Formats: sequence, C-alpha cells, structure tokens
Amino acid sequence: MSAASSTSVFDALPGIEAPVGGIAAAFRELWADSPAEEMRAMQLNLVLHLGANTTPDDANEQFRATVRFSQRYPCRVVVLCPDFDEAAPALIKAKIYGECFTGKAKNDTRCCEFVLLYYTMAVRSFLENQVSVCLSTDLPMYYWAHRFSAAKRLADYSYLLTRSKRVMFDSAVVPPDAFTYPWPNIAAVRDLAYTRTLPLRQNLGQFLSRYAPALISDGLRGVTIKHRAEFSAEANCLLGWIKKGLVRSGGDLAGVTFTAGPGECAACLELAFTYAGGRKYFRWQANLEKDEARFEGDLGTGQTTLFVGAHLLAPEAALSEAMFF
Amino acid sequence: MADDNRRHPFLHGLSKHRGSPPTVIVIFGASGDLTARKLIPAIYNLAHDGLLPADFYLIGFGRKPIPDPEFQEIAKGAIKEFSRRELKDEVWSRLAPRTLYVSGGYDEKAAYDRLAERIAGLEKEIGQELQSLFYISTPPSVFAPIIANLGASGLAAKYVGQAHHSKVVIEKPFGKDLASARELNRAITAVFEEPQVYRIDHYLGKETVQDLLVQRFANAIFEPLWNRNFIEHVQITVAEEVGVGTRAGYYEQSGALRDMIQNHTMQLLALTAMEPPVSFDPESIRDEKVKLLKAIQPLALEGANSDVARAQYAEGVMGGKPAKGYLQEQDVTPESYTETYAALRLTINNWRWQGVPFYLRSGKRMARRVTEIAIRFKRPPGNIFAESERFLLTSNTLAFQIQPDEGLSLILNAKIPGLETRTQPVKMNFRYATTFGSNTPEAYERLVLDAMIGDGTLFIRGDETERSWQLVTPILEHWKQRKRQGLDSYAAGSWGPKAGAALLGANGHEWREP
Repeated sequence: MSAASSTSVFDALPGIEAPVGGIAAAFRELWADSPAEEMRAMQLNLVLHLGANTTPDDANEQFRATVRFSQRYPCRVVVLCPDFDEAAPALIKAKIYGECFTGKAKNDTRCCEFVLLYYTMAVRSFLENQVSVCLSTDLPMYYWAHRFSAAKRLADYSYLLTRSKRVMFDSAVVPPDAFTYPWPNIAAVRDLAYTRTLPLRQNLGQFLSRYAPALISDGLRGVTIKHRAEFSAEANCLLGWIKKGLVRSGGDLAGVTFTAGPGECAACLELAFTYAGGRKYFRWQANLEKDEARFEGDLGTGQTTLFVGAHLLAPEAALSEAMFF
Repeated sequence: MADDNRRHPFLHGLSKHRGSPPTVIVIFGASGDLTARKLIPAIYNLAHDGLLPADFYLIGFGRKPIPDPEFQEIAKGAIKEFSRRELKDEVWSRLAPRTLYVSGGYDEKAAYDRLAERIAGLEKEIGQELQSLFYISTPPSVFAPIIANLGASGLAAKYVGQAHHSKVVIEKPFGKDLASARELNRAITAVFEEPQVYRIDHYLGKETVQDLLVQRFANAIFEPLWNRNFIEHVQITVAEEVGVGTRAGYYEQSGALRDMIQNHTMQLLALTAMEPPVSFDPESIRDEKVKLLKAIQPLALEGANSDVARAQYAEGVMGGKPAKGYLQEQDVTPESYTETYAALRLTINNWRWQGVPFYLRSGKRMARRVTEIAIRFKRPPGNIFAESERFLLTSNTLAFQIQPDEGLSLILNAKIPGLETRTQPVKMNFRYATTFGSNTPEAYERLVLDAMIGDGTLFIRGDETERSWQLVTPILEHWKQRKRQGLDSYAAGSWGPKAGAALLGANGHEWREP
C-alpha cells in the first residue's frame, strides 16, 4: 500500500463539492425537502485527520468506520485531507456528505453530516478558522490523528488539539515514538490499538483476578506474548498492561523477562507466564478470528482450564471506547 | 479512584461493569414469562457485549423436571423471540453449556440442598468460588419459602463478609399492603443482610429515569427553579393502552394502585422531588428517597377534598375498534371493584415543596401508552403580554418522557414571525433515540449487571417499600370497605375519569394529554 497525494485521498472519499465559504448553505440544500431535517442530531464533533501515509483505500476504510461510529453517536465530522507538497499553491476545497440511518422506527432515524476539507500546506495557518466554522463549538470535540507521523506538524493543529477532549492515534500505523510527540495535552491522548484490546484485557483481568496478586507474581520468571505479524501493536499494548498489573501486584520484577514477538500461530495472540521451579504456569491462547480463547494454568491452587470468547473491538467501538472511557 | 486502587491489580482501569466476579445466577420461576421475555435475553445480551465474567453459569430452578439440554433449548428459543439482538451462534455456543437446570418444589428443602451441591460441584470443577445471585421471579406466594430455604440450605450466607457474597434479587410486588410488606422484609432480613438484597423495579433501569438525576443535578439551570417558588405543580402519568386481557386472575388481586402507583410511580416521584444526595453512592440516594416519601402527608380519602380517585374502564374505542369494558373482561365478576385507574393528589410537607401539588395517575385502556413526569412552572409575573387575543401563552412545562420515545421536552412561549408581536407556545425536544441511537441496553441488562457487581443504586431498599405501602394501604382499605361505592368509570381509549380530572380541577389545573 503506497501513500497517495491527498488530492486523490480527497477525491476518493464520497461527498458533494461545495464552496468552502458556503458549507452551511450546501447542507441546507442537501437536506432540503428531506425528512432528515428533524432527524439531525449532534452530540459531539469529531475531526478525522488523514495523515501523510494515508492511501485512498485506507481513507475510505477510516471514513466508513467513522460513519458507523456516527450511527451510534450522531456527530459533526470534519475530515482533514492535507496535501503535504510544500510547493503546492494555496488551495482549500470542500465536500459535504450526509447520511441517514433508518432505525427501528421513524423517530429512531438519525442523520449525520461530514465536511471534508482538502488543503495545501500554504493555507494551513488559516485552517483552524475554516474548521471552526464547520464545528458545533458548544459540544465536545475529539481528534482522530490517523497516520499522524510528524511531530513538527503538531503546531499546525494546536487550535484543534488543545480543544479536543481526547486525541486518538493508532500505534499500529504511527511511528513508535508517537506517544513522545509534544501533544498539547498528553493526558488526553489515547492509543486505539490499546483500546482494541479491551475485551482481551477484560477476560485476562477477570481470570487473573481469581488469584491473589502474590500468587501471580511470586516466582515469575518470564512473560511472553507471541502474535501474528499484524497484531504487533496489540501485543505490545497487552504486554505493557501485564507489566503494569504485575507492578501493582507488588512483585519483584527484577528477574522477569518480558518479550513480545511474531510466532507461529494462525489468527492468534498467545500469552504465557513461566515460573521458577516449573510447577506453576499460565497460558492463554486466543484465536481472534474464531472469537475464542483458552486459559490454562496452575498458579498454585490447582490446574484450571477455561474457554472464553476473544476478539478485538471493532474500529467504531474502539473509537467510542477511547473517546468516552 | 480510591475504589479502583482497592481492586485487584488486573482489574485496575477496567470499568466496574467489566469486573464482575465469577457468578452463578439462579432464576426461581425459570419457566415464567419474565424469565423468557426479559431475564434470559438480558443475560444473552450481556454475554454478547462481553460483560459476563469468564466463569458464568445460569441455573434455572423450577418445579417441572427439565433436563439441561431441554432448558438450553427453551433459553435459546427465548433469545430468538425476545432478544433485542439476533442470536449469534458464537455467543450462544459459549453460554449454552453453562445454562443448567435444577428441579424441585419451592418449599422442598432437599431441592435447595441439590442446588447447593450443584453450585459446589461447579466451583470444584473450575477451582473457583462462585458468587451466587438468586433471582426470584415467581408469584409472591412462594417468596417466603424460597427465602427461608435459601437460608436453611446455607446458600444465603455463602461467602458473607466478602465481596462475592450471595445476593438475592426480588421482583415486585414487595407485599400487597403494609403488613405483608413488613412480613416479607422480616422474612428476607432473617436470612439475608440488607446489602445482599436487590429489590428490583425495572423502571429504575430505564435510561430516562437515570437521566432524571443527571438533568436535575448536573444542569445548573434546573435545580434553582426546582421548588415551590417556581413550580406550580407536577404530574406523573403511567398510562397503558392494554386492558387486563387474560390476566384478570392476577389483576383482580392487584389493581392500579398496587400494580403501578405504589411502586413505579412512587419511585418516579421520589427521584423527581428528593433533595440532592450528598454523593452518587447507593445509600445516599436511597436515604434521600426515603426522606421524601416520609414528607408526604396522609391523604384525605373522602368528601369534596378527597385526594384520591379510582375508576374502571368501560366500553369504548381503542385505535378505531370497539373495546370492551373491564366488567366484560374474562374472569371479572360484575361485583368487581378493582380499580383499573387510580389517581392521587399528594402534598409534600417540606421546605422545598410546601404548597406544590403532585398528581399521580395510572390506568389501563387509556388513550396512549405513555409514562412521563411533567413539571409545570408558574407563569411569569407582570402582564405585558396580557392581551389574550394577541398573546397565546402557556406555562412552561418540562416533560421527561420515560416511555415510549424516551427524551425530554420543554414548552416555551415564542414570538410568531411577523411584523406584529404575537406569541404561541413552542416545544423543544430532546429524543434519546435520535441523539444516541436506540440500541441501548434494556433496563434488565443494566439491573442484572448492577446486582452482579453489587451496586444497589438502582434498587429499592426495604424501608422505601414500607414507607410507600404506609401511604397507599389506608387507601386500599378505604376502597375495600366502600366496594363499588364511589368507583367512577371512563371510556376505554380516553384519558381517564371525571373523578381524576376533579383532583386537579379543584386547584385550577388540568391533566396533560401527552
């Protein structure tokens, strides 16, 4: 998948071209004579920022995830499609997009609105004003920095990032140092890869909470996660979470090795705890495609085997989890 | 945060609803209507959302011997028919083998011993202690033997003193009058401690009811007006379109006052009128509800100033079709004096509400199915818009619609566009479904999960039920003495009887027709 110019990203996304200064009028026209007028609700603003390495296909995938999210949480979405060619002349283009979802009844119908903005670097200092008029500024704002990969560009978006209740990126598709960027409010930053692992952390947490913390940490020598290549980000998030849990358990982790790496397993994530003496052990093997996992272990209280579901949150659910919880 | 720090290190950071301990839910009344329509679908949807603990079991308990596989098929059928989501094989395939059945009489001690053995067997199998949640969804006549046997078998006291102690969920009715409510509470507290008891009123699980507390205490614009200085009166309506149908056997023993007013409507009243709790913890909220119920004055039952009205529906028209009257319904005798409509005018004797009437009504075969709380504000002082030809004005009304079409509306007065200043009332609407989508958890999902994690905020405490019965028992006794004397009627499909309207008319008020 190679990166494309943002013109092609902008062109690949659905919507009707509208004058940048006439977006409100364009929406009025879009909804004219439509029963959607009374169905348009809004509870938040979401900015979807498509970063430098976004391809048209990738852009469409994130756009559809945002549409699905807006079915559950009606919102005004602003999609930013920057053109990173520093030599390109000053230009901003806009498209609008509206979609209604039919619910169980007429009063369950919801419609949402998207504004898509293409802009060249030459106009980025004017961007915040253009975006601000597309937002409902009384309502909370969230910022999804998809493939945002240049710390130096943060300043261009400080207006939006500072006002955002949460800023989300996905460690599966941004550089490993993204958490160290000078985000205006690091406490508001969330990793969607970590959020996607919520069902796995819940299952592991509920299972491990059967045991006194000392039983889990005493004698621990190693924590290993094996994963299929594309689950690298999720595996690292899980490993970090396990490490934090063990720290909170109060155990001595000085001699404990933590490793995560690709392994031979289909659709899988596998976690194993190894202990000194070899009697205690814990294994968790998940098949995410089949939504199933197997716990197996003996942490000193007898052998246990348990089968549960195991899946990652869908993109739209990960978004809402990262935004609201 | 302090709570989070007390949790197991591997539950830290997960919301409390994602940290249920290993649990077995035992449903008494496993073949009942509520189990099929609400409980099993609720459990399935919790499983679907991954909110059940990994070690979760469901045991149906009933008189009829049913093998586990047959009960699993019954449960599957209930999910297919009543769940808000379609049955997914991957979810059901995990839940099905954990869906079990124990048969026995409700008063048969040996059956409870078998139940205890089955739970102990599960614990042994998984090497883990299980929290037992006993869900009593049976006719009230067997509440007492079930509770007594849970005590005698040791199931009630299991793990007392620990977070995963046994819990009991009890469906209404919590008694049929004050004496029986006290007797039931005595029977319960002889076996369970109050923190183990979850008296369920599913209305409290509804989003709009929970939102009532948020609207009141998280919005600065309402609470300063929420008192006798600005509010003229409050109306709470729980109206049903359905008649008694084939349930006359039950309804003849109940009536609108017992079936709806004493529980659902009183809870709505308490949440609407209570003082701000010191915190959002269960006891603080329940303390305030009880204080409010205690401030309600005894009701006048007779004469021109009577605070109560009752009626039965007569023949009428529902949805364009003829509808029969209550006395023509199957299993209803001509002498029946069971009220299908009841209305109360309440006075709350406290600083906040002195002089503000609270009107409560509930009825069957009314014009529309609707449950709402309407706060009617006083008119503004002054008369610059007094010229009635030009200025059509109404009192501001804030209406919380609990069902259907959950949301709230505010009626304001606005200028009609044009050169001349003319006014008319306009309505501002907030609809839950439009703003948040409708596929929200059902009340029972929230309540079952809350009971599993030991959060009693949305459940009713024993003293609440007794106080509520204390208010309505004199009315029930009065009506019992008078039989059909003074019993009004209303046409099926109407908004209720004249007697109900008269309660408001005496103060110059009118019922809303929402």
